[in-house]
Amino acid sequence: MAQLEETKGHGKVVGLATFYVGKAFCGMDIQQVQEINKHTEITWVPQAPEYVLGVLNLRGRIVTIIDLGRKLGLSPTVLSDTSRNIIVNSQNEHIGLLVDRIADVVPADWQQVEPPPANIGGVQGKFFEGVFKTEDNLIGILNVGVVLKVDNH
Amino acid sequence: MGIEDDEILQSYVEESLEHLADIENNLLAIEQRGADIDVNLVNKVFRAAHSIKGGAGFMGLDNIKELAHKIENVLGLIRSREMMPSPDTINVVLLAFDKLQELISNAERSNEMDISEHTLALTNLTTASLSKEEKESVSRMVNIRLPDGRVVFTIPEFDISQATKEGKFLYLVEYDLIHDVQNKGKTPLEVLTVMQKSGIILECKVDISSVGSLEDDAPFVRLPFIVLFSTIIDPGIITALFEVEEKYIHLVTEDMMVKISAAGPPEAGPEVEKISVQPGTLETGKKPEPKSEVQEEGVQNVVRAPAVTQAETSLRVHVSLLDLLMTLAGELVLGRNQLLQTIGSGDQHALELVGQRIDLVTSELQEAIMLTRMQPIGNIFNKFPRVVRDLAGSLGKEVNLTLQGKEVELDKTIIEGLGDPLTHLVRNSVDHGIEVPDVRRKQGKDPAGQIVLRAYHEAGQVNIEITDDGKGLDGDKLAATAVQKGLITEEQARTMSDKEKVNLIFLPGFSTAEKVTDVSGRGVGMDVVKTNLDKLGGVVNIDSEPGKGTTIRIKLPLTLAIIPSQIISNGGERYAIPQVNLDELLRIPASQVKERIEKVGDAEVVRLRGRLLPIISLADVLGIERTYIDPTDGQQKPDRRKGIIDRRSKVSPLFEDDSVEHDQPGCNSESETHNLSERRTKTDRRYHASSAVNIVVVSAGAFKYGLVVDEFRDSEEIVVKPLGRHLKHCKGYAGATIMGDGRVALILDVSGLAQMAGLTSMEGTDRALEVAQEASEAIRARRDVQALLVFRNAEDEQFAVPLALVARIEKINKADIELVGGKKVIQYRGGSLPLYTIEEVAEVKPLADNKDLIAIVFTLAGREVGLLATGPVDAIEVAIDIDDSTLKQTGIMGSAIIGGYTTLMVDIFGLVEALTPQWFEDRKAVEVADGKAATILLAEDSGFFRNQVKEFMEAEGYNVIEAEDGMVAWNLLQEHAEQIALVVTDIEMPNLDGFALTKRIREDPRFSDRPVIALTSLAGDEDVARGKQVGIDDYQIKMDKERLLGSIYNYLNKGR
Repeated sequence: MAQLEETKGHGKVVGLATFYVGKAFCGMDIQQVQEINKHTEITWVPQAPEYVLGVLNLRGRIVTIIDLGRKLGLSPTVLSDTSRNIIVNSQNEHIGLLVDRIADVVPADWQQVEPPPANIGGVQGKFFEGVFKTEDNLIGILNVGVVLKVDNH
Repeated sequence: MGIEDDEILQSYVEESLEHLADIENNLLAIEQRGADIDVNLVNKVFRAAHSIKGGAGFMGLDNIKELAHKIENVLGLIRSREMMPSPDTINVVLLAFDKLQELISNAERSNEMDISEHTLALTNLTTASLSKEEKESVSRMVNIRLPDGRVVFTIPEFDISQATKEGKFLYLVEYDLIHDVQNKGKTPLEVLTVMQKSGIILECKVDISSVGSLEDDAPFVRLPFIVLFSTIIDPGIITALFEVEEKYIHLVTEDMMVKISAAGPPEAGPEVEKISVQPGTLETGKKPEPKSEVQEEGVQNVVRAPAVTQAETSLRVHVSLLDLLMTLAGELVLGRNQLLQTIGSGDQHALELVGQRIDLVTSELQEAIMLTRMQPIGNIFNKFPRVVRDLAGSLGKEVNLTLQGKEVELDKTIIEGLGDPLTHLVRNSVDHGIEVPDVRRKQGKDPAGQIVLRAYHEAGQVNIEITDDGKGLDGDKLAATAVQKGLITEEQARTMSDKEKVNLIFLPGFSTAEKVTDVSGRGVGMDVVKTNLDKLGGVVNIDSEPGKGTTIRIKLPLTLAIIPSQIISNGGERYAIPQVNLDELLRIPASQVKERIEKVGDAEVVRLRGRLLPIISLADVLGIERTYIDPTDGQQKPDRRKGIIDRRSKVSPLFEDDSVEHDQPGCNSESETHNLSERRTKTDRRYHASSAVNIVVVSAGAFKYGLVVDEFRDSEEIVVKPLGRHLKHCKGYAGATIMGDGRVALILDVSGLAQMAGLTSMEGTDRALEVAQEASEAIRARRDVQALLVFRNAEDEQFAVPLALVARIEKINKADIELVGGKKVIQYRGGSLPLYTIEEVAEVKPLADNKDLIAIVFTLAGREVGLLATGPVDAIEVAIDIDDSTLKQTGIMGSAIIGGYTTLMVDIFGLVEALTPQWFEDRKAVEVADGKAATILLAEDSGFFRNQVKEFMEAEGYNVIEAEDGMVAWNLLQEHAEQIALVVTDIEMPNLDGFALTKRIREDPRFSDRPVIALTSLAGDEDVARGKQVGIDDYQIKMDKERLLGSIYNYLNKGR
C-alpha cells in the first residue's frame, strides 16, 4: 500500500493488472499482486462471512479466498475456466481474490488517474482508489486495503 | 552502537541472564542453611555477581556494575561469615538481583534506571555488620591515580582495605584493547574471566579520555582498558598472568591513592544508617518503579512476582541435535534426488521405496525439530520457591513447596505461556488455600502448609498438578455466589455435583477482586487463568475437599505445532478434531438409533453406558445441510429429517413434507464449489433412512458432548496452520491444516462449537440431568430396574443387596459389638441383634478395620439380622446384567458392574442359612398334591432371576417349569394344564407381559382358578392396582425368598 501512495505522489507510470469482476473492469497495481493462479481446490468454510469463498492451500500456506464479486456487492463469482485467484499480500497474510477473468497489464500514469465516482458499474466508490481511462475502457483501480478490510458484523 | 558492539552487548546480556538463572534458588538454599554456611554455594552466587560486574564495567553499564558490586560486598561478608544470611538479608539480596535482572534485560537503558533503593539497602547491610571505623571507610572515597597523575577510579576506602587485606596486592592494569586483546584473538570478557580466576576485579573501564582526539597529530595506537585488580599473586610473577607489557602493570601504592571527603559520593548519604532493612517495608512501603498492573488481586500484601519471563528470541540448541538435523536434511535431499530420478524412470516399486524413505526421514526430521523447541518445565518451576517464600512471608504463613518433575519437557511456546497462569494458581494456593499457622494448629494440621507442584507425562500429554493441604473450596458457597451473580440458576446449582460446583470458579465473571475473599477466597481471576490455558490447548480442573485441600490439575499437549487428530467428514468436507478433545468414537447401528438417541425438548441426547450425553449435529452448528452417506453406493445424500431420531421414527409426517428443508442462508452461495447439484438431488429421502449415526464424543474441559458427523476417517498427525483474519471470528475453528491430497481441512474447536450450539457446561449438565431423570422414570415404567443398596466390606470391594430386602441401616460403633456364645451381637432396641459378616461365609476380603461400622438390617425368617459393612452406602436404581456364574459362591449370588466397579451381589438368605441353618428348619414341608410335589410355572425374562427363584423353589421341593417370557409361559401352561398348580410371573417381559399373561389366564376357564403371584423389583402402587384389576393375587419382591415361599405356600394351601 505504501508503495502505491508513493507512486501516486510522483506521477509515476505503474502497471495495472486488470481483470473483470462480473462486468466491472477493475485493476490494481501489479506490484501488489503476488501471483495469479487457477486453483479450484477450495475448502468451504461454514460460518465464514458471505464473501469468503473458502480457504486454499498455496504451497503450505492457508490462503483465504475472497469472492470479489460478492465483496463488491455484485453477484457471486461463478467458478469457470476463466476464473482466477489473484493472490495479494496484505498485512503479512496472503489473500486470494477470485475474479471472473483476468486481462492485460495496462501501463497507467498516476497523474491521469481520476478520483472515483460514487459508483462504478454498480460498485460503491469506496472500494476504488481512482479510475483510469484508456482509449476504449475505464479501469476502476481497486483500493485493496478497503476491499480486504475485515467487517465487524 | 555499532553492530559489533551490539553483538558483544547481546552476548553479555545472554551470559549474564544465564548467570542469574540459578541464583534465586541458590540464595534460598543459603537462607535455609542459615549459620551453617556452604561456602561453595555462596561462592557460586558471588562469582555470578562478579562476572556480571566485570562485564558491565567494560560495557559502560555503570548502574549494573554498581548494583552487582554492592551485592558482591554483601555476599563477600556472608562468605567470610561476617554476616548471617538471615531471611531479611537474603530478601534484600533477592530484590537486588531482581533489579539487576531488570537492568540487564534492558541493558541499553539501564543507566537511566533508578537503583538507589537497592544500593541503599545493600550498603546498609554491609555497614550494619561493620565496626564504626569500617563503616566510615565505606563512605570515604579514594581516588586511584595512574602514575602520570590521571585519576582513573573513585572507589570507597572500605573496598580497598578489603581488597588489600590478607596479604593481597592491588594492581592497576592497563590493557590495550587493540594489541593485547583484539590482536590476540580474545574478547575483553574472556580477559576478565581469566583474571577472575586468580583474583578480584574491583573496577574496570575503557579509558576513552586517554585516546585523544582525531585532530591530535600523534596517531593513537592504544585503546586502554584499565582494570583495578586484587590478587595474592606476587608482583614478581604478575606479568605472567596478564600478558601485557610490564610498564602497563602498576602495583597500587599509597601514593597512588588520594582520599577525598566523605560527603562526596552520592550513594552513601548520611541517612544510610536510618533506613531499616525490614523486608516488609521494602516491599510494601515504597515502590519506586511502576510495577505491572497485574495487581488485580486486591490483596494488600502482594509481593512482586519476579519479572514476567520475556519471550526469548534466541534459543540454545545442543550441537549433537544440530548435527542430527544436518544429517536428516542431507538424507532428505538424497531422498528428493532419488524421487526425481525414479519419477523419470516410472518404476512403481522403486517409487514406493523412495516414498517410504522420505516418509521416514520426514518423521525423524519433524521429531528432531520439535526437540529443539522442547524445554524443561523446571524453567518456570524454579521461580516458585521464591514466589512462595515471599508471599508466605508477607502473609505470615509457613509454606513448604515441593517441586516434582522439573525435567519434564514442553514446547517452548507452551512453557512461555504457562508461566503466568501457573504463578497465579500457586499464589492463590498460598494466599487463599493455606491457612495461617494458628488455624492449622487448631485443626490438627502441621503448622507449615504443603504445596506440591508436580509435572508428569501421561498419555502423550503433560499433566501439572498443584496440590495444597489448605482449607479447600466450599462448593456450596461457590454455587451460592454463582447464583447470586446470576451466572447459574438455582435449579442448576441444585443439580450440580460437588466437582462441578468447585469448577464454577472458572466461569467468566465469577470472581472479581472485591467479592472473592469474603466468599471462599479462591477464584481471583480464575477465568483468566482458564482462558490462558485454553489458548495453550490445556484443560484445567479442580478437585477440592473442604478442610483437606485442593488439587488443580492441568493437562497440556506436548506441543502446539503438530497434533494428532481424528479426521471426520461432513457435508463432503473433511474436518480435524484434535485428539486431546477426543474421548471416543461412537457408531450407533441403524437398528439401535431409535433406542439410544432420545429427544428431550429440542435437545437430543445419546445413551452411553448408562449416561446421557447431549449431542449436537456438526451440520446444524455450522449451518450446513445435514447429509449422510448412503450405505449402498457410498454417495452423500441430503438428510431432511428434523432430528436424528426421526430416522427411525416409524411415523413421521416430516418425511412427507417437502417444505421442511435445511437451507441455511449462505448455503446457496457456495453451491458452485460443492457439487450441490448432487446433494440437492431429490432422491428418495427415506430410502436410506436406515444409516447408522456416527458420533464423536468430545470433551471440552470437564464437559462432554457428542458431535454427530457423517463419517469417521483416519486419525492423522496434522500441522496446525492459522486461519486468515477474515475467518478469525469463526468460533468453531482452531485453525486449518493441509491434508495428504493438498486440500485444506479445518480444525474444529470443540468448545467453540459447544458455545455456538448454546451448549455450555452448565446447560449441558443441566439438560442431561433433566433428561436422565425423565429417562430413568421412563425406564422404570418400562423395564426391570433393580433398586440396590451398594456398600463395602473391605474398602476396595463393592457389594450390593436388593434394597427391598433391607429393613434399615444402623450406624454402630465397633466397640459396642459383643461376642456372645461365639456369635457377634449388638444390643439393639432392648434385644440382641445378631451380626454377620460376609467373609464368614464367602471368600472375600475381610471387613475394613474401622471404628464406625454399618449394620444393614434384614428381616429373615421372622427375625432381624444385621450384616456388618462399611460405607459409603448408596441406594441406586440400575438396570444391570447380573453374571450368576463367574463369581458365584456361598453367600454371593453373582456379580454385576455398578458405577464402574465389579460388585458382588450378596445372597443374604444363603449367607444367614449357612451360618444358622436351624432358623430355617421350622419351615413347612413341601406342599404335595396327590403325593407329588406341586408344580409351579415361573415366567421371568431375566436368566439370573429365573435361576435364582427356580433354585430356591426347587430347594423347597417344588417342581418348576421355566418360561423366558409371557408367551412361552402361556404355551407351556396350555401344554401342562393339569400339572401346573400356581403361576409365578415377572411383570416386565417381552412378547407378553405379566399383566397380559394374567389376563389370559383369568379369561380362560381352564386356568382361571390358578393363583398368580407377580414378581417385581419395585412394586409401585399403580402397578399393584393394575395387577389386582387383571387378577394378580399377590405381589412379591423378586429376591425376597422368605415371603415368596410363604406366599406360594399359602396360595397352594388355600387356593385363590
